[in-house]
Amino acid sequence: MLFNSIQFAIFLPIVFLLYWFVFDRFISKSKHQLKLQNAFVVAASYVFYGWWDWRFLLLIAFTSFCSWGSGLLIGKAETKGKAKTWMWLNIVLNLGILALFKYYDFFVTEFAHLFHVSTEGLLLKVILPVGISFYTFQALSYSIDVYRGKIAPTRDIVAFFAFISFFPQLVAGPIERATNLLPQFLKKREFRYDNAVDGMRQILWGLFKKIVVADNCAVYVDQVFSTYAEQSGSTLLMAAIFFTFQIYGDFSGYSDIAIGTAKLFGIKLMRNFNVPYFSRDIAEFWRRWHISLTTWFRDYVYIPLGGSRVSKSKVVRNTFIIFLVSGFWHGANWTFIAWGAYHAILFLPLILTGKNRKYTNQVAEGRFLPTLKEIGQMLLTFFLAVIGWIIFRSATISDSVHYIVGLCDASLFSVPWMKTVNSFVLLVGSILMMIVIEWLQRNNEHGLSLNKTLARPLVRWGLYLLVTLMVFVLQSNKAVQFIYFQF
Amino acid sequence: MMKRFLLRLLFYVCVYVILHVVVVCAVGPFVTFYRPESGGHLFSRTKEIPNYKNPDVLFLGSSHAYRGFDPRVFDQAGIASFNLGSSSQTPMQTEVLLKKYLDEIQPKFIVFDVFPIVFQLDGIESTADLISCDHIDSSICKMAFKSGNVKVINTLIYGLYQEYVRDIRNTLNERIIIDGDQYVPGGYVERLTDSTLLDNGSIKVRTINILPEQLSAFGRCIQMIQDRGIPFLLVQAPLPQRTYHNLLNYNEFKNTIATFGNYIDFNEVLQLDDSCFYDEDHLNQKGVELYNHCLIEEFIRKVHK
Repeated sequence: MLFNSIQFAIFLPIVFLLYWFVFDRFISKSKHQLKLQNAFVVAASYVFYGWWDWRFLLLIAFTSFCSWGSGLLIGKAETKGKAKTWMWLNIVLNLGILALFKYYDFFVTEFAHLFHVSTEGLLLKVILPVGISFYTFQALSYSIDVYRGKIAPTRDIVAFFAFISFFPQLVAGPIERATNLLPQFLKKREFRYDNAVDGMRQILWGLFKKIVVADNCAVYVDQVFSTYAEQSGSTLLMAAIFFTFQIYGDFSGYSDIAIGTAKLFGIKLMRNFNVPYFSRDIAEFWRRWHISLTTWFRDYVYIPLGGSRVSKSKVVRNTFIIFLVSGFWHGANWTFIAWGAYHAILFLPLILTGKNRKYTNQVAEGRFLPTLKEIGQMLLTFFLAVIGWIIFRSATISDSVHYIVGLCDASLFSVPWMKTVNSFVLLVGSILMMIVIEWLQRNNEHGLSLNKTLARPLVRWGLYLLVTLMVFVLQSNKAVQFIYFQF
Repeated sequence: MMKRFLLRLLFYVCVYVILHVVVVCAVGPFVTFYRPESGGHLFSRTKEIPNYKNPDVLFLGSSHAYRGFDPRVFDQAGIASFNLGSSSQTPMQTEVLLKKYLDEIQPKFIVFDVFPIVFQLDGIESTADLISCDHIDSSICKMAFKSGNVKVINTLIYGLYQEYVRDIRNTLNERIIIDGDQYVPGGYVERLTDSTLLDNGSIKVRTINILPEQLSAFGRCIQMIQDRGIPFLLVQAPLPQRTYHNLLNYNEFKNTIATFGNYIDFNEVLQLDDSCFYDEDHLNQKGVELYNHCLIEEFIRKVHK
């Protein structure tokens, strides 16, 4: 079920009303009220997920059960060694499932290619279960955190299943930590008016970014990337820039809808994007892009490897490991690994010179506009990100090289291809609107979290209505699947 | 608090719905997707239907139909015809059109163009085309809501406004020539160009993934035709050789379609070169005439049989 579908528009209000009116209010006297409400969350989440393919529900249930069981076994283990064994068993099991579905065919094909043997009868050719990388990582973080003593193992299997399968963030994150999300399923949720209203605003802003910006960019991007050899340099540049906004609008839009939806149910999810294209260097970009995954790798891979508090050669090794693994997490394709390596190369000089935490505050803090230096830094970082996205979006590494070579051409200064001038102007206008609103709101959680004391009701309502209108009028002809669903 | 939230939300939705309808009606003239004159000339075609009762042949299908069967060529052979093709018409839209017009037109024979690509389309473009160009009735509304596409719903809102407030079906006369396409009475659209398919342009390799819902709709269309005892022929119009060979699992598609009735793939009957096409999919006038003469022979053969 897509967030931007009619099915979800029907599903969400039904689940919302049942959640608060049936499972919270009418059975509030029951001592099992919390369990029943959590069971309802699990049921609704399984319906949401099963809409794609119900067969993979078994896989989620299996992952959830094993991780829940491993948590209990780690908790009960008499020695640290035994606890470690249970934790590793859970890690191997979960990563094994992930590897089987996501990477097995890739490795077989690559090995077969390397040793010139046929893949006949060796490939599994299984469909990749939606969101498997997201919920697997969420399950892993639980057993690791239990082992580290950051969280006590829970006996409440229903709450645990709800934690793994909570539908707003099940298929594309944010990848929640058990320390944040699980306790919320172990206590009674309260309906808060401000929270719910803010959730609705965040959903609206997410829909704007997805439907108005990302989906309309996709039309141009798909056309150009599929015929890049025939396009002018300016068209290639335009498509690369549009893809940069498409992937941001698509993924951060999804995250906003997920976080906003969770708020309606009294659940607070972690922030996943923090205006990454306003970053002044690539290190800041990575603190603001896909925060839940970046911090996951930081906490569970980078720091255990020694992080940056080791010799310089090991820092280089750790940085490459983290970026290559992060790239590979996105999918079984060399382009993702190359994208990770590209970012590692950009990141290394900063970490080796100790400048990777130079910009931890918000750009132009306390000011309305950035300085010229900040503008230059942001444009350079943006440009570096654009090049990275070309590698990410291309079908093969060779395609990405040819694409980048195609950019460096005299035709870079020609007028880019446009399907129609009107649609092109509308698209650029929508992107500019998103940039301006996010700039003004850069210190807030999302684009529409307007300060009531600063913005009058008429201005706020006017903006909400305008954004809603754009969502429902400026849709592209075809609903585009969320990019991160494939990961 | 919950009551306050729900009431405010309801109020917002009501204000928004009114604003939405007003804005869609106001911006409609500037949105190609909503307008009747968006290409394909279906508006003129549906207006002509009352003038074409009991034709010898009725043509159905996508642009391959309305750009591929020229009634003037059939007239010369003494065959009266009408073309009910429309832009990207998928079997789902064919079904709606047949339900609305088959009993009114009462053709003696039907030629149904089955271009494989339409079987993998969601039908959004074609649904919007039908809404903006045809009389809106309950079947069209049902199809619009079934599509679940907001842009189609917007087209429906604008279409209802055009039809019932502005009475467009009685006041608008669609231009005969739109973007180099000339409407020819009888439903045909002639491409006014001498250009032919260029050799150097790349042609996409395509795999045909038939959507189950399109295949079921196709089955229902055939059933509807058979229920009325109308003989029919399923055809695939000639394609440029490169396009034809780039349809990877074409044989699989042909085998599936052939289970529904008599099927002729004219790519096997006629070998046309690139000078007979104006783009990677469509015949130009020279190609249409060659194709139609060939079809007439087949048609006469089938009818006499």
